[in-house]
Amino acid sequence: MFDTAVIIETVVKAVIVVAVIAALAGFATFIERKVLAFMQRRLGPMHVGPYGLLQLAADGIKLFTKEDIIPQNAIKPIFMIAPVIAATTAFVAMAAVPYFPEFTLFGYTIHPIISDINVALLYVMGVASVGIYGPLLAGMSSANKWSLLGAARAVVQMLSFEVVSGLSVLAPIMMIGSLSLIDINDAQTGGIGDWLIWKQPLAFVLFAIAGFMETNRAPFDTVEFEAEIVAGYATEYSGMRWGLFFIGEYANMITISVLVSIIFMGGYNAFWFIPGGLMMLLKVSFWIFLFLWVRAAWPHVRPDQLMWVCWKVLMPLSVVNIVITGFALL
Amino acid sequence: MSENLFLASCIVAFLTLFLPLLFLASARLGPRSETKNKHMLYESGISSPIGTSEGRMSAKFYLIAILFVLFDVEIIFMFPWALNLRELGFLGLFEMLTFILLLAAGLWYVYRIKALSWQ
Amino acid sequence: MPKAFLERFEKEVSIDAYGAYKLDASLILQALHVLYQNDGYTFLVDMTAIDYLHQPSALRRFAIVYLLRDRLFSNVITLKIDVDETLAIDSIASLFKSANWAEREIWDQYGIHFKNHPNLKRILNHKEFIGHPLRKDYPITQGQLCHKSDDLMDEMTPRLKRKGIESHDALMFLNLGPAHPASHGTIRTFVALESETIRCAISEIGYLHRGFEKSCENHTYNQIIPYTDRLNYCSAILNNIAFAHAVEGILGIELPDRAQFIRVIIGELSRMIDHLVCLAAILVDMGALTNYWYLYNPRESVYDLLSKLTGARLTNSYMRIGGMSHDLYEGFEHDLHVCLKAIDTGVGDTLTLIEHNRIFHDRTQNVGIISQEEAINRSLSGPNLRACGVAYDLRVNAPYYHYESFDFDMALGSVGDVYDRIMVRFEEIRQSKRIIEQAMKRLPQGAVCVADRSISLPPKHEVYGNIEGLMNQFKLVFEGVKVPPSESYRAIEGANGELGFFIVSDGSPKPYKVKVRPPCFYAMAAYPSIIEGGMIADAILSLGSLNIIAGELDR
Repeated sequence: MFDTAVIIETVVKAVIVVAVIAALAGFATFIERKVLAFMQRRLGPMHVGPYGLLQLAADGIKLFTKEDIIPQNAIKPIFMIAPVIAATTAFVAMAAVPYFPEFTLFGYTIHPIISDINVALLYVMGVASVGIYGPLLAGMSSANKWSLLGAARAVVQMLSFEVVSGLSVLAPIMMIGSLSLIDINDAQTGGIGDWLIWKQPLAFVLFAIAGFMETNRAPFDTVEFEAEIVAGYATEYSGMRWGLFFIGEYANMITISVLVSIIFMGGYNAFWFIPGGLMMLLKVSFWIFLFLWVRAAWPHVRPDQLMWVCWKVLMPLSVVNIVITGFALL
Repeated sequence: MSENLFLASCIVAFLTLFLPLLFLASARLGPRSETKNKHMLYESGISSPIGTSEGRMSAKFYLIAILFVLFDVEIIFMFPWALNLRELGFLGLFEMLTFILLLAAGLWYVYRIKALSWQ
Repeated sequence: MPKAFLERFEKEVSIDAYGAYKLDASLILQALHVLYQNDGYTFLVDMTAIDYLHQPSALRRFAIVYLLRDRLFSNVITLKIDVDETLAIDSIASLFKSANWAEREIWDQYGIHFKNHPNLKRILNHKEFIGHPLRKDYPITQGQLCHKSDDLMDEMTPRLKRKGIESHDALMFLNLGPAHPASHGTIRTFVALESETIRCAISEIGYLHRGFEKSCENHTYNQIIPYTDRLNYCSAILNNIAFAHAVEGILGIELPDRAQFIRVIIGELSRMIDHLVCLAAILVDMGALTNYWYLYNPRESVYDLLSKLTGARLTNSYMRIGGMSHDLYEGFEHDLHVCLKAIDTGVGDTLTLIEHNRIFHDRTQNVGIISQEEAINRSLSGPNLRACGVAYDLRVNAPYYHYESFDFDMALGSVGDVYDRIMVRFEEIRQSKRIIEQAMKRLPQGAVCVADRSISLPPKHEVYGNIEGLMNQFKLVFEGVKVPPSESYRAIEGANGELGFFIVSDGSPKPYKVKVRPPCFYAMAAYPSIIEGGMIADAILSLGSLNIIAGELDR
């Protein structure tokens, strides 16, 4: 059914992507602590290794060796599987995301995408929304009221932003006429002026807001905000199970950053003397930084305000945007 | 192509399923001690809370869920149209406009019956 | 003078040796009605009981004391009734909502029953506790081990019924606290939720109760000052001042001007850091994390100054009866200037982050509203009451320490929501800075303690140099300050409201009874009614904005 070479190539790519993204997710936690610290006039981790870099390893070891506690009354199989769902869906979504321009290694052309498909965008968004089952199942199986509230918030939040993110990418799709992320990237080859962000500023803003909601980042981090609902769905989790939620969240952050970079900000096209691969890294880094910047700057919203803004502001706006785009294109 | 995707998804899923197994094996490295209180549920330090988390949830959540299903399915209808916008032309646009108007009317109705407010 | 009251009860009222209006227990509800409606005494400052077991001259063992303020908040009158052998009197909770918890406290501590009280149960002590600890025959060393937590359904069910909710099916009962990230110490609020809307709430306090008032009865006046540090530990100095001020009132002494000005300076500095803590905490509760460091770093510099001045960071114990432990140090003015500048920068940075932030406005405006009438009836005070637009600040209404001579404005809110409470505090930090700057300019030279050797310690060279000084030191250290018999209440404007001490002295060096009026006790009593109908997220903000400090709440 499959060519052996294809299988081997896919396995190798998948191993690299999972390993690199998992490592990056860990590194992102360190970056987050450092960036937030500098914005808050303090130093952040400083004692473990140079500039606290080994803090990362220390945290990893701590998580690895922590006791795995399953509370009484919890529905055990679901409780155990929920974090795996959260992490897995975050990584599976990356199967259709291109990261770099294709390049040649040892005379072999490599496409830095695990699987190039023509409905990549739909696939990524679909799989990412399956990820909601992680928090939902975790919250409902923990037998803890805070967890249940967290799960309810997660669902309400997901139901709200999903409509917006779906509608906001429609306008770029109308302009390009393809759901493949590689096609979308190739449509923006002509330098900064060609980026979709200029033609679709509204869609860009809407999609970015939906991205913040999808990753549970401030100002929409209602799902596990400790001052209100302790740790939300993750209240009863400890050790590596909690760590999986964590990795999933940061992997999601990276996916969203990559998606926004590709759809609206010219993707991995080379710019001036900067090669495309580096451009992509720069853009993703910028987005990660933006996530942290917003967290440092703003208070966060109430769950009902989040719903309000999604259904009554963002959704009508994105519909209007689609209509305008339709008329402008024809 | 879609077979390729299926394969890729399976591989990635398998890989990530493999990771937690590794992690859980490594959990044996840490100390373990079983005490009765360790597995107690946390509710702000109250040892005998009233009620469990298995009670009924407010119907509000179900209402929103159903609304979501309605609107999200409608968005799915718009994707094929968006892809073939140029071929379908003005006729397609006006057809979609009608559809969107219906959708907007639905949203207006939902708004009016206050299904989207929490109080 | 409560004219209508004196006319109406001309025959029944007598004035006792300490200036309190005494009348028969059966008349109290009528009397309070007249005072409330005709004389405008609408603010119940505090109420407490006195156990006269060790004072044989008293006819009855127990007396209840009511402290009331009029509409101008400048006059306090004391009403006193004797309790007969039935140990039961009428509850005034129907007239003053704030009396609800105050009466519960009296029942808890003294075992006096209040007829027609809506919910007379223990409040500070555990429900398994046996006896009434503030009675004179309860041994001060007798501890009791209680560990079963109260499920609070005995309060929840009737309260839900009053709101017309009979069925508990759709409700989720949840404990917000005592061990919750946003419970500000150990405060428990038990809520009935419908999705995330709070239908009904009940607060339980006492998790930090350590018998402050009982301990006071066993210590000399100056020994009590370190205890007062632990009341509102965010502004320990103000608590020192309030206690010393109350005792000095009984002694009838006037502090030297320098001492008064230093008390103003250090007190206002304390007020600033108290507000900084409150604001930082509420902004973190809102997710605006960065402001925490912007507001806490200047607080740290104030603590540096305080530790240089007093030797301690948090629990300073700087004040003494009749003055303070020592004068300002060399270079204090420079350090103070650095602190004020740091606070200015921190507050400015925070305001640039939140002042025009839409999310901040949406989260705080029209959230946790308490109306003027309700706030007065519930005896809220300080910034919480001023946020409702009530011009009540003891520094203005009943000035002490030359406050009338300082040029500063009273910050007032208009709606009484979380936003107003936050912004009033921001403004008060600015006003405190103005007061400190004026006080520093006018700071006179001179002694920092009264010259009376029966109150304040003699200078060291006298102790070592002549017999009289040595004797003075010896007597004061071994016996303590002897305070003439009295029953009096005196208050200052604390950081989160009117902070007063009702002290019964019997001529000995130890107080016969001390009752502190902790401002957040009444704020906490009002809290459940503020959050009902809101959401969990609003409840957290309301708690933060009321600035509840468990140390003084539970005593």
